[in-house]
Parts: sequence; structure tokens; C-alpha cells
Amino acid sequence: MAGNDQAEAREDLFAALVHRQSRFVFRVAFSVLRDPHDAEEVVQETFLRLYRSSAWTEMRDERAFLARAAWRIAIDRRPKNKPLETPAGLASNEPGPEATVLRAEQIAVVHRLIDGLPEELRQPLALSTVDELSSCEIAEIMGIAEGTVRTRLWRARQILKQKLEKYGH
Amino acid sequence: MGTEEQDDLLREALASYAGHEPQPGIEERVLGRVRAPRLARRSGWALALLAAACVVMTMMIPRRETLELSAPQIVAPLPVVVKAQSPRAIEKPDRFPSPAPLTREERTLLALADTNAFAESGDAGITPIQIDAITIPPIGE
Repeated sequence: MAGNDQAEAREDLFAALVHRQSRFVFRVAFSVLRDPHDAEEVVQETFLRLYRSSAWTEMRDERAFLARAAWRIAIDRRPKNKPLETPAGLASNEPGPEATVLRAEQIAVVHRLIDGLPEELRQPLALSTVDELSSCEIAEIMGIAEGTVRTRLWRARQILKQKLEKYGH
Repeated sequence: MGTEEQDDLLREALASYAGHEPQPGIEERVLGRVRAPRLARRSGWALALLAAACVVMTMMIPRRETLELSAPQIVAPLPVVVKAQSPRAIEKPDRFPSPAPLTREERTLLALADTNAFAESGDAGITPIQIDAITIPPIGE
């Protein structure tokens, strides 16, 4: 009976963890993969691996722990030879019928430019957009120094600005 | 586009870059996936137990039949009826041992003796063999 109670309590704790963090894990995975179906697969795999190991019961910072796990799984799933995104319509000066449509187009262009960044720059930049992860958290997730994260973020932004200027935005 | 506008565009684009929300019910799907192997394992065990029970049953049924067939049947022994013979009924033989019918060899021998073949052959001119006396001279003469 005590064993059953313990198992049920464990189940409840895990279910609570899933409800608390699955959306955050999804956003981390999506920032890497840019595909909602793949991102959900990563979420499920992350929690499945976590459940099978007993590591989740000893997590100190569950957010950082889950982000790191999901990021690694997503990186493994990401195609190695990702085709470079072509910023179609970037040079186009055609105004949209409405300002909102134009803005959406501009944002889509920037997304494609981010996708075209080298992975070492794109990943910290993408992670920085997830629930406003700090440089320290990104460094912990990626397993690199915090200073390196800051440098890469700065370089990524510089490249994006240069490209935007180059294409007339 | 000015620097300020560029920064705004970047900020907005970055905010929406990972701002994609999952489809509703992701928590339940995750928990379902996590629990699925355990349920499958349980049902697997149940199926294995069922299969094992079936195997045991199929092995037990013919065995029970053979056991029934080979089981010793307890039958009440038939009473052995021995008729008591009175001493007067036993006849005393005239000769001892009791005469028995001749065997085939004995009958052949008797037939040969009755023919007197040897006596008749002597009358037919066969002379008996005569053997001279053996004389052995002494040594040195």
C-alpha cells in the first residue's frame, strides 16, 4: 500500500512538472527547430527521458535543467545541412495593402535572416527570445561561458542589422 | 529605415521568433506518451500470463486423459473356486509310471526291429569276415 501511495505521489509530482514547464520546453525546442510538430516531438521525448531517469526528482533548477535537455535533443534532431534560407522579398519595396501586412512581411524576413545565421550565433539568439532567458541561463544550457554568450549575441545582432541595411530595410 | 526603427523591428521579430505556442492539450499528450510504455508493459504482462495459462491448460488436458486411462482400475478380485475332490475319486493306476503313447522316434525304432533286416541279409550270401591270428616274432631272431 505504501509503495502504491509513493508511486501515485511521484506520478502527481511529474504531472505537475509537465503542466508547469511543457510550454516553456516547447518554446526552447521551437527556437531551435522552427517547426511546431518537431518541437512537440522534442517536448515529449524530453519528458519521456526525464521520467525514465530519476534525475527529475533531484533537479535544483528545473527550468534550466529542462531547457538544457530539450535544447540538446532539438540540436540532435536538427538537420545538419540545413538549407540556407533565402530572404525572399527582402529587397522588395512593394508596399502591402495595409501597414500590418507590411510589418508581418518585414518580421518574416527578419526571421529568415535569423534562420540563416551560423548556428553558433543563431542558437544563443534564439534562446534569448525564449521567455527572456538570461545570458547566464543560456550559457548554462549551451555549456559555454557567459561572456561567450554575450559576444555571440552582440555579433548576431550586428550581422542582422548589416543585412537589414544591405537589403534596404 | 532608421536605427531606431531597425531596433524595433529586430526586437519585435525576436520576440515572435520563439513565440510560437503549442497546440492546446500538449500536457495531456506528453503525459499520455510517458504513461503509454507502462500501460503497454502491463498489458504485455497480462497477455504473457494469459498465454502461459493457455499453454498450461493445453498441456494439462491430454495429461489428465492419459492419467485417467492409465489409472489403476480397482476391480474386486474374482473368487477362486477350488472344487474339493474326495479321495475316493482318485483312481490308482495299474502300472507306475503310467503308460504314455509312444513317441515318433520310438515307433520308428520298433518298426526297424520288426523287419529283422540283419538276419535276412546273412542268408543272402554275405560271408562273415575271418581274421588270422596275429603272430609276433621275438626280437633278435
